[in-house]
Order: sequence, then C-alpha cells, then structure tokens
Amino acid sequence: MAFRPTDIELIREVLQDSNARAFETLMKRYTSQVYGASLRLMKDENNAQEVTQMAFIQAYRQLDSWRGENFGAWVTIIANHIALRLLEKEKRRQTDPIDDNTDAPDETYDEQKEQRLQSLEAAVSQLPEADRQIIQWHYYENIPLQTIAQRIGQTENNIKVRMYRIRERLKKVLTSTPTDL
Amino acid sequence: MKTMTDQELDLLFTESAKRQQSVDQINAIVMRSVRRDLRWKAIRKWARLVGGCFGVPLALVVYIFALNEAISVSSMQTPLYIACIALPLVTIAVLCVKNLKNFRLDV
Repeated sequence: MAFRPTDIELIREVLQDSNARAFETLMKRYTSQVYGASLRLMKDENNAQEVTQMAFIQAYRQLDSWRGENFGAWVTIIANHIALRLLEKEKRRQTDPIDDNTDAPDETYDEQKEQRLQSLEAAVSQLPEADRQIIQWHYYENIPLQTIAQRIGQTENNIKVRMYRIRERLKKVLTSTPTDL
Repeated sequence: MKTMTDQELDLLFTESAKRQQSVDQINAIVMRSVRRDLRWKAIRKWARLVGGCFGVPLALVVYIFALNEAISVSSMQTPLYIACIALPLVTIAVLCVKNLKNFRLDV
C-alpha cells in the first residue's frame, strides 16, 4: 500500500523545506471540498474558483499560523471569510447608484447537483484503490477500457466486468444517499 | 426508493469530470502563485545576505568617514567620538549576527 503522509507531515515539509510539492499534495486533498463550500456561498462557478484560489494562497502565506486542527476545515473557513467579504462588496456595489455595472453572478448553482457530485466523490473515495484508479482513468482522464486493460495486464472483458461491478456498487451507494437537504 | 439509472450515473460522471477540470485549474493557478512566492523568498534571502556582506561595511565606511570629517571640523571630545562609533557598531553587529543565525542555505 502506498505511503500517504498526514497533513501535519506535509505542512512541516512546506514550512521547513519550502517544499512546493508537499503543498500541492495537501491542496489536492481539499480543493474540491473548499470549492464546494465556496460555490455554496457564491452560487457562481467563476467566483467560487476565484475564492478557492485566494483561500489557498492565503492559507499558504499564513501556514505558520496553522495550529494543527483540520487543514481542510481551516482553508474552508478562510474561503468562507473571503466569499462573505466579496459578497458584501458586491452588495455595496449594486446599491451604489453611480455604478450601473450589472455584472451579477449567473445563477448556475444547483444545490442538488452539488450534493450529488459530493456524494459521487465520497462514494468513489470509498472504493478500493485499484477500482478507484480504474474510475479515475476511464471517467476523468478519458482512457478507453482497452488501454486500461493493457495497463493493468488484464483482458478487456475482465475490465468490463469489473467496471460493471464498480458502477453497480456506486449506483447502490448513491441511491441510498439522500441528495436533497 | 428510485434506483439510479446508467444514464444518470454517466451524467454524474460527466459533471464530476467537468468539476475536476475546474479543480485542476484552481490547483495550477495556486501552485503558480506558491512557486512565485518561493522564488521571491529565495531572492529576498540572498539579497539580504549580499546587503549584509557589502551594504553594511559600505555604510560603515561612509559613516566613519563622515564622522571623521565632522570631528576634524568641530574638534569633538574623545569619549563622545568613541560613543559615536561604538553605538552604530554594536547595532550593526547585533543585526549581522541575527541575520546570519537565521540564514539557511536550503530555503
């Protein structure tokens, strides 16, 4: 099984050795969570992206003030503060009679969709490492099943059966997960 | 309870992959900023060292020269002269020691 460093170990590496790769690993663990939280507040994908970026950059610059709690929760709090500040600014701008720039966020946010995506992410993360890798390759990197079969030294039919089982398992988990709040 | 269909799962995966692209984009932008910060940190560190090695002695030479000139004009008394030299020397020495103590090659 691959060695998975803890958040504290990664942060120590960032602080002591200025290891950018350690920060990247740490960030990848929580980007989706922080982005989801930002999206919930900003209700707009572009703004949520901006908030998430700002939150991680701020977290990096203030990393030495992190006191060992949950890193993801800490960055989420930073993102929430940034999002609320931006919303407040936006609100003030919209009530300003001089400024008629109506650059309002497009209401593309769908709470149910967000819930479903998070459920899928959680369900995929619960899969065994090998199955998760197959899902990653096929659905996120668009690699055909035939290539995956070659990569892991199995027949295409074997991979198809395996994929069927994984999908059934995911469907079962996602059906039992309530998606509406 | 309504079971999830294959189409629904496929749609969810498509949306999730799209989300993954946004997340990757965020990661790339943040890492660019982090690396830029690190580069600046290194530049600042070496600039401080160079400033400490060359700037401080230069400032010291200029200061002592100016002091010497001032003394030759105003005929300042010896204890005052010593105090005028010792005070900045001690301050500079303390600053240098502090900087050298904090200096790390690998950062």
